[in-house]
Amino acid sequence: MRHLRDDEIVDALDGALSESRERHLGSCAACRREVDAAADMTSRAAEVDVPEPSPLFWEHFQARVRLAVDEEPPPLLRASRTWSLRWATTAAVLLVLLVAGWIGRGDVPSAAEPTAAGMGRPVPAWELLERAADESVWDEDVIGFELSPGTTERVLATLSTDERQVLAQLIEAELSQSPR
Amino acid sequence: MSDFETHVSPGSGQFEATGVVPRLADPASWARRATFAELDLAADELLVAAAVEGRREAFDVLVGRHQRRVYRVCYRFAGGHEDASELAQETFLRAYRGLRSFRGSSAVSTWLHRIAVNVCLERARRRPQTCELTDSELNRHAVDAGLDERLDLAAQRRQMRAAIDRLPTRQRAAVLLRVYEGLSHKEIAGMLGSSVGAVKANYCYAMKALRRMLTAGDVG
Repeated sequence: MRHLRDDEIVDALDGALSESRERHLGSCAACRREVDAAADMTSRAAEVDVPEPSPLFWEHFQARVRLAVDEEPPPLLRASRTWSLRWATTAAVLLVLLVAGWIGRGDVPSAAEPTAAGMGRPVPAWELLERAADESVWDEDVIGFELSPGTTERVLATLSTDERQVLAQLIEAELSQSPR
Repeated sequence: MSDFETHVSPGSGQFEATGVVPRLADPASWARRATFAELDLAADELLVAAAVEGRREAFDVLVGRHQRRVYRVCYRFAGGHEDASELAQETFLRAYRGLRSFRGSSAVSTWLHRIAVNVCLERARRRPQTCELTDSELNRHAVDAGLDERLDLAAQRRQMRAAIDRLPTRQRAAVLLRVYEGLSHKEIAGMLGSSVGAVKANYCYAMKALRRMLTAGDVG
């Protein structure tokens, strides 16, 4: 009968050897030596401990972790930022789709600079949308197509004042509901 | 009756974090107004909730509670104090960044342990051991000289540690995760991205390699 394979030697250490292989082990001195040697090394390895650092180390370590953590945004703020950028991306993509018909008709407007001036008051939502475009946060795997440079600006430029107001209201309503 | 009751956190058996769990419907509300003393006694899961609510001192308590265990895991992989310290810090930083992803399906201690192992494995992949011995080298040096007669216990342990540090990365990971972290072969296979059979084979090779190194007196 063939000797135990390497994985079977480990099974023997774990007491998980099949009945037939257990019978072989009982009658094969060579396999028994292999299993005993592996068991001996395992128990010797288990005795190796980690040297304890100086008691002062733990205080220093905690202080170092605290400094590193202090440079991180709070967990909720981190989630809020991520959520806001994702939402802004989604909103902008929806906007692209809304005006895609105009582009499809060949009625492509010139790339005018989109501003909130036409709405008569400053609109923070526009800034968020523009920042999302500027920071190249588009996830093409999510939106399903590739955006060429300047697409967002061109699309924003196609909106009428009324359409901009509606979009801004939608964005602001969503932002007011987002987790802080 | 007190608002609090003594509680032992459920865990993997490897950790014994104890604390106090408030009988409150809204842990987040409790987390926002808990005093330092209450945080210090709180169960790990509540400390996570408090840290998510922005109570960084709650995370300090978690670090203090688990730093030794995390350090030990890192030391075994790193083989030295400086690297272990760096890896342990990275572990806690990642835990902080991922606080919101903690769902409570396992104990906080188990969650931290997993992060530590992943941090160590990533480091091992980026910076593999450079002092590995090939099988032919091991065979050439192998002389069965009777370990027990030549070494006292402390020296044996020192040499064993040095021998483990010289194992190839996958063999070393198999030994560390099995012998010291108590993971099953299936869990190790999942972490290393290999099959259970390969993990067992690596473990067996590691045991043979350790024996060869130690009998050859080629370590320490």
